[in-house]
This record gives sequence, structure tokens and C-alpha cells, in this order.
Amino acid sequence: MERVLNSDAGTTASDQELLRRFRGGDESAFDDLVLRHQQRAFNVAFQLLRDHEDATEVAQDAFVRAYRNLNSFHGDCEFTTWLHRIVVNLAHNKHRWWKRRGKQASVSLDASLESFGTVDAQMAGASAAPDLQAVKAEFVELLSQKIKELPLRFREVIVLRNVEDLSYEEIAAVLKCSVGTVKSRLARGREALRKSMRAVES
Amino acid sequence: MNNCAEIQAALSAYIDNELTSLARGKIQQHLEQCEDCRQHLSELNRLATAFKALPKLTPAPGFLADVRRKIAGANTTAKHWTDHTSRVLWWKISLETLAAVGIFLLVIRFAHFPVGKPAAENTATSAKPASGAVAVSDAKSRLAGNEQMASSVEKLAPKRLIGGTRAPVVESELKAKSNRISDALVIRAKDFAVAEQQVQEIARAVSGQILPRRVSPGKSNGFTEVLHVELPVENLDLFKSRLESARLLSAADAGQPATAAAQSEAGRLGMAGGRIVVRIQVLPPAD
Repeated sequence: MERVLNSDAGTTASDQELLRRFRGGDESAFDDLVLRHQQRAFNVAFQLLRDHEDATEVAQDAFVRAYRNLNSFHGDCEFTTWLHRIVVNLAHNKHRWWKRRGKQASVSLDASLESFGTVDAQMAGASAAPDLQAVKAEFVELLSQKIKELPLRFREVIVLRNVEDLSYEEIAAVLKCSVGTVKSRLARGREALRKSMRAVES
Repeated sequence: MNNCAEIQAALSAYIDNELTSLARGKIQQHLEQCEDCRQHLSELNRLATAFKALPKLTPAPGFLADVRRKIAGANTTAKHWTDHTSRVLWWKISLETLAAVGIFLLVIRFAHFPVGKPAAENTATSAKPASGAVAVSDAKSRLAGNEQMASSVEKLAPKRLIGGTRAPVVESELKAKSNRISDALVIRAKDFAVAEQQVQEIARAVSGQILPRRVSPGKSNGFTEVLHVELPVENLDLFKSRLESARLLSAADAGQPATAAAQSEAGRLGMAGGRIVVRIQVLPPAD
């Protein structure tokens, strides 16, 4: 995006700088924030919902909410942390909305992790020796199927960690929970995922 | 942390490098001797690699424009319904609007397939389909023959709201109004594409945007192309002055200060802080 009139606004302005400009009345600073973080917001929403349309809606609504609540954002965490929190909350709302309308986007939305582990091997036969280095395309495809079945509270920590590369502390800040909770949910969620992938593969 | 179960439970934090060096050392020691746990670790690593290989999805183009549209739409209604009581009222009205729409649909249905007494003729509905009050009262008379249906309609929409003027003011209408053209300008440029580019940059600088282009009919009045720019109403003056600085808009072409009119219209529609649409006609240079 070219900016002729606001040439002082370099592309490297920090989020804080953009927020400061936005609060000072520079609406285009908000546009820059959206452009900078739209992919992140959309990607997280997509990984949580696995639905293109709903992810778009959630990511856009997250920015609308951010716009309307920027004054209550006091910078006690990173803007991205705050944005992630809004996206995750809206994804939860969307989930509840699905639930009320009986949309079974997630097979085991209410299923316990215990039952999650016993996935039937409908795709059995596509076996492959575990390979540390190369991950086959089918394995990645299988993963994207299996994420869907993971309960949301586990999915969100895994997505924030493995897709967004957030630290445990950052994830705890996003979800407003303790680092210990993040750690245990990650361990349990990954274990469930590992088992279910294995059940299909072997 | 000695047995395999404990080690495996800690492997998740191990691969994330979120363990103390002491715990880390213990795990490494154990891994050297335990084939099972090494296998477990390799599976977790494989999972992490697969996550990295998931396709990175990009939002559709127009994401920002949609966000802006939503913000503009949200503002027009939000300004009206900020305090709690207003919100409750809004919610009630929304429900009652729904009820009114439901009745209207019933009217249409009964106009075509009357189920009540045949005495209720299809008169008023066809004559005045646009008037909610008439249509609804007609619906009630039409439904008079059907006691059960009539009472359910009463339950659906309380009398005081039938035909009320507030119910139809729904969000979509406010949105439509906010998209109404509030100002019109004429700019002069040799090259339309260049002018469009310049207008786009200026619009963006005042938090506006060019709306998807509509191709205009090339009539004899030298009329070539038209751009529609959506921007916050309070930036209209700034937008114009920047067009002037860019020598696209001459003071003469700026004509009457339409800003005041635009602002008062925006005010009338409760769009303070809302967005308006400016129609810009691009003409060849005057000289």
C-alpha cells in the first residue's frame, strides 16, 4: 500500500506507534494494523473453526471489536496478544452458535479426551513408517482432519503454540489462564492428537 | 520423574523448550536408554513438523474494506443504541420487527390463498402493499374468520407496535442510507487511470476508499468516468482540500460547500462519525 501523503509512516512502525497514531485521530493507522495482522487473525480463526467463511467473519469481527474497544486497551499486553484473545473468544462464540443450531463441525465438541483417543481406523491401510524428517502430504492432510475432532480448549492451545509460535506465557495471557494450565492442556491435547493419528495410520 | 509415563507427559514441554535445565537433563538421560520414549518423542516432533506444513491461508482480498464497512455499519446503529435501556429497546424492537415481518408474510400468503371467511376480500393489500399499518390491519380483518390464527398473531405482535413507525427502522435501512451519495464533485484530469490512482491515495490518507467501480454510460456531455469514494463524514473537508492540493479539484469546481449539507444529512440519519459516499465525476481538463 502506497502512502504518499503520510510518507512519515514507514512500513516499520510498531504496533504501539500505530495505536498511538490511531488514538491521535489517524484512521489510516488502523488500516495498517488490519493489513499487518489480517493473515494472522484469519489463520488462527481458520485453524480453530476449520471453515473458511466463518473464519473470515470471525477475523473481521475481531478487528471491528478491536476498533471499537481500542480505548479500553491499555497496552498491558502486546496488541497481538489482545487480538488473539478477541479472535479466540469470537471463535468460542461461533462454536456455541453452531452448537445451538446443531451444526456438527466438530465431531467431539463435547466428547471427552478419553473417548477421543479411541478413533476408529477408517483410514487404516495408509500406513507409513514414522519418519522424523519428512512429513508426507497425507500426514498433513490427516492432521488437518484430526484437529477438527479435538475439543476446542485443546485445539486453541495447540494452534497458538504450533501454528502461531507463541510462548507458554503468551498463550496464558491470551487465554487468561495459568502457564501450568497451558502446559497441561498442550500435553494432553498433543497426546490425544498423537494417539488418534497413530490409530489411523497403523 | 522416573517412569516412562511421567517422562512422556513431560515431552510436550520438552519439545517446546519450556522445562528447567534440571528436568531437561533428566529427560535426556532417560531418552538415551529408552527406546519407547524416543519413539514417543519422534512422534511428537513429527506432529510439530506437520503443523508447520499446514497451508498458510490468506484472507480474501477486500478483507480490510469489509472490516471498514462493518465498522461503518456498526457505528450508525451503535450511536443510537449506546446506553443499556436503548439496547433493550433495540432488542425488543428487533423482535417486534420480526413479528411484523412475519405478519406481513402472512398477509401475502392469505392474499393469495385466503383461508378465512371469503368475505374478507383482497382489496387493501393489493392497493397499498407498502403501508405496514394498512396491510397489517387488513391482515387482521382477513384473519378474523380464523380465531386461532388471529389470536396467535396477537401474541406474536403486540397491538401497540402494529403499524408503528419505529419498527421498520432496521439496520439494513440505516446501512442503505449510509451508502447514499452525500456529496458530488467534479475533478479534472488528462488520464482517468492516473486520476483514479491519485484519488485512491488521497482517499486512503483520509481513511476512505474507492468503492468498486461502476462503468458509466458515455454520454455526449463529455462525461467520461465516475468514481465513488466512501469516507468518514468528518474527513470530507480534508479530502477536498487534498484533492485541491493535488490540483485535481479546482476551487471553482468545488462549487457550493456541499459539506454542510452532507454533514447535516449525516446528522439527520444519526450518522455522526459515520461514513458517506462522494460521487466524483472525472472530466478532461477545462482548457
